[in-house]
Parts: sequence; structure tokens; C-alpha cells
Amino acid sequence: MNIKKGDSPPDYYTLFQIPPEASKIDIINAYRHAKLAYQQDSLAIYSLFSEQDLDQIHAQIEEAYSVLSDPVKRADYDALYLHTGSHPIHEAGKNVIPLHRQHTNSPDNNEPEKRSGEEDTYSGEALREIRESKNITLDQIAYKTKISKHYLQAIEDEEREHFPETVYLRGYLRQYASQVGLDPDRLVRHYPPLSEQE
Amino acid sequence: MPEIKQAQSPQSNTRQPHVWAVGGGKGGVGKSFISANLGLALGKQGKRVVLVDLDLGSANLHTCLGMSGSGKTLSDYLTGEISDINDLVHKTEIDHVGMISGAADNLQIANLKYFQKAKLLRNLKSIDADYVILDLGAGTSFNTLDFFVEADRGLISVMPDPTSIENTYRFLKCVFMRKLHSAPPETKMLMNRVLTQRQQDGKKTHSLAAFLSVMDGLHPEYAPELRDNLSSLQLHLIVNQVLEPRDTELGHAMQMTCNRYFAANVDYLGYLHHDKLVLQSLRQRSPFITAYPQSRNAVHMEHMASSLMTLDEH
Repeated sequence: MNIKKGDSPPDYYTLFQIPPEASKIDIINAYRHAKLAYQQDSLAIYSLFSEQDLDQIHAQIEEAYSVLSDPVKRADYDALYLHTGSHPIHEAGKNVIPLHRQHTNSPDNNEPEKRSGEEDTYSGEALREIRESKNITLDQIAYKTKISKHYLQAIEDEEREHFPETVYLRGYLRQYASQVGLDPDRLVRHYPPLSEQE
Repeated sequence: MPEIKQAQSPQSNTRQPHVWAVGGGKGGVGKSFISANLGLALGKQGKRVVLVDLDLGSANLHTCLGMSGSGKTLSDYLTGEISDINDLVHKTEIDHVGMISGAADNLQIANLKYFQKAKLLRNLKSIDADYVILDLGAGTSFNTLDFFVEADRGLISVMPDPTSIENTYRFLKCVFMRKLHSAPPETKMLMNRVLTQRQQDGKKTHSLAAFLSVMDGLHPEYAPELRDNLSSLQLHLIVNQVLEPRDTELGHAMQMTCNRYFAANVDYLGYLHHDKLVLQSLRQRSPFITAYPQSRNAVHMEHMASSLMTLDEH
């Protein structure tokens, strides 16, 4: 029984369990989840996959991420994928309310290995896009975090001068991150006004 | 008797209950605990629920509900002494939540005969409730699998340890195999070979997903039906007895690996913490969710119940 490669394009979206319209953030999160799921000592693979399967899967994960994280490559892939589209698109878990998102952030994300491939920065502009894609308004974040909307706006406008002390900006960023479903640590590391300063 | 039945039927005919089955290959992973408390959580939200203890050989759903297990049981129904399944329902602590006991008064009851199983399967939908939750036994006997496969949703409880995971995958393989029981014999034989191959020296293994794509090529007229049949299973994972934060990732990871191996949607529904209070509530003979309504596990239970309810209402 052979699986012929090249019959149809490898289905990166199914591999990552995301719909084709997934945002940049969804892709980064899915990549991280996939790496955790298939790493050698993962419980989830126990008794299901052999070492050879895993090698193949690891290669596919890297390949999928290298394509999906690059807008140009992704557009090419989408054109091909949506054209042939022989596989059903699974949207597993899409309807289920995520349970305590911030808790499920694994403590492992500080490992350098996990950080590779996340050179992206979260500009104020990108943050706004992410927020709007999730239909969250600044007022809602302000209401929930008790941070004045003025400061939240300043975060998205990258107006560093509104925050005399870096520590406030960092704190606000963290809260902003958890409201829009980003990893707070990662946002603080990759927010341009903060990284420029260092 | 017939008159009473008629009086009940207009109500129950208007809407059949949603049937959820709680299973998982291994014993002691919290199937009864989850069934009982999910049922109570639904009841607290105003739903009419009947919990059915189908762990026939070693029933203890009643204990998780803080009840004694005396009174009428499934065996009264299966032997024909009671003709209406709704007459078996015992009241629980919470309004609108009832229980059908499987307490083992008849020691032969674990070995359901085919006609008894068929009778039960046929009549589950005539239980007068919004939700019927089946608490299944451990293992992969046909009696267990058939209830799991026939339910509208299958919930699988898994613990973050290798034995539980091994048995969960084994259980899932059996579920998918059973789901295709009407497929042609050659298909079943091939599938059985794929699913039961031994892993040799870390060499490549075949997955159900690969099997399906081979079928796509071999029998393009028949393969889609096979896929539809398998993907009609609505499966949800619950990771139970979580100790460390990273254990909660297991659900995401298994959702991914199941999708890859089985080409099926297995949703990660949520997780429950390892908690001494569970033991305490059992000793106190009171259901966990009413004994400790503020505990994080109670909150998680309610969250899972409402997630599933939202899915069912769509």
C-alpha cells in the first residue's frame, strides 16, 4: 500500500488543523501546537506513529510553516490548493469555545527551539488587524482590562511617548495580548517600539 | 398502561433527545464521573436529562450521583418486567435530571444478548428528555462500541499517561472499525490489517488516513461514502486528571494526531484537574458538582456542557 506523493498537494491546512482563511497568528499558533504534538516525547503520538512516520511528519510541519508563513508562497500554494482541493477541509474544534486560552499556553514556549521561525514582529498596524479580525473593539478591551482606551490606541499607533516608563507599556501590552489571544511574552519581545529601544 | 404511554408520547415525539455517550478504552479514567457531572451541569441549565448507566458489569454511576442504586434497574427492562423505559428513571438531587440504574442485581447482565442490545438501542431515543447521556463501560466489546457509535456524540475521557493513551487509540480504532460494519468484507479486512499492524523497528506504519486515500484511488465510486460514514462520528476529547499545565496541551496534540491518523475530526472539548475533592465528594456520597459548585472542575464541567449544547443547538 503506497501513498503516492504528488497526486494532490500536501494538505498543510489539514495538517495544522486550520481553515484556509486562517490568520498569521493562527498559523504561528498551529505551528507551535504541531511541533509540540509530534515531538519525540509527546504523549499524543504514543503507540500511533513509528519513528519513520515522525521524521516524515516533522519535515512536513517545517515545510508547511515555511510556505504558510510566507505571504507570497502562501498565495501560490492557495491557488494550487483551492484549485485541486481534493481533501475536505477539517475545521476541528472551530465551534468549541476555547477553554482558558491563557492557561493552555504551554510553559515550553521559552525554549529557544520553539522561538525559531518566529522572527515576525507585531507592529501596531498588525495588532489592529489581528484585533479587528477577531471583532474585538478597543472599548471592549478597555472595559475588560480597565486600561484607558487612550493608551490602547497609543499601542496600536506605536506612540511610544505616551508611556514615560517602559514598564507600563510592557504591562499594558501583556494585557492587550491576552485579550486578543496572543502570547503576552512573545508580543512584548516582538513589539517594534520596545525592541528598537534595546 | 397504554393510556399513560399515549399521554406521554406527543411530548416526546415532538423532539427526540440528543444522545451523548461517554467512553474511552481504559477503566478508571472518569467516565462515570464525567457522565454524572455533565448531566447535572445540563440540568442546572434547565435541560431535562436522563443518565443511563450502561457499564453493566460494574455499574457505579449511581454512586457518582450520590444515590444508592436500589430500585428498578435496566435488567428489569431487559427481562421484560417493565415495558416502558421511562418507568426506570430515578430522580436525582437536581430537578429534571433522572438516572436509569445499571446496578448489577443480575450477574449475567454484562453479557447483553443481541436482541436486548437492539431493544435498548431502539428505545434510547424514546426516553422523555432533552439529553440522554450514556455512561459506557471500559473495553472494546461490541456491546460498548455499538452504543458509542450509535450516539449523536461520543465523548472520550483520556488521562495524561501512556496506558490511557494507548487504550484510547485502541478504542478509537475499534470505533472506526465498528462504524464500517456494513462495508464489504474485503474493505473491512484491509482496514483491519491496517489498524492492527505491529510496529516494526520504527518503520513506516499505515494509517487509516492513508488507507482512505488508497481507497479513493481504488474505488472512487465507493470511497466518498466510506469517508462520509467515518466523518459522521462526532467525537470529543476530555483530558482528565491534569496535573501540570503542559498536560492540557495533550488535547490539542491528540486532536492533531487523530486527524492525521484517522482522518477524522476529534475535538478537544476541555480538561479537568486532578483534585482530591473528587474523592471527598464520592466519600460524602454527594455529586461533585453540587458539593463543590465553585471548584475549578465544576466550572470546567459547566463550560463543557454549554459548549456541547451550543453545538447541538446549531
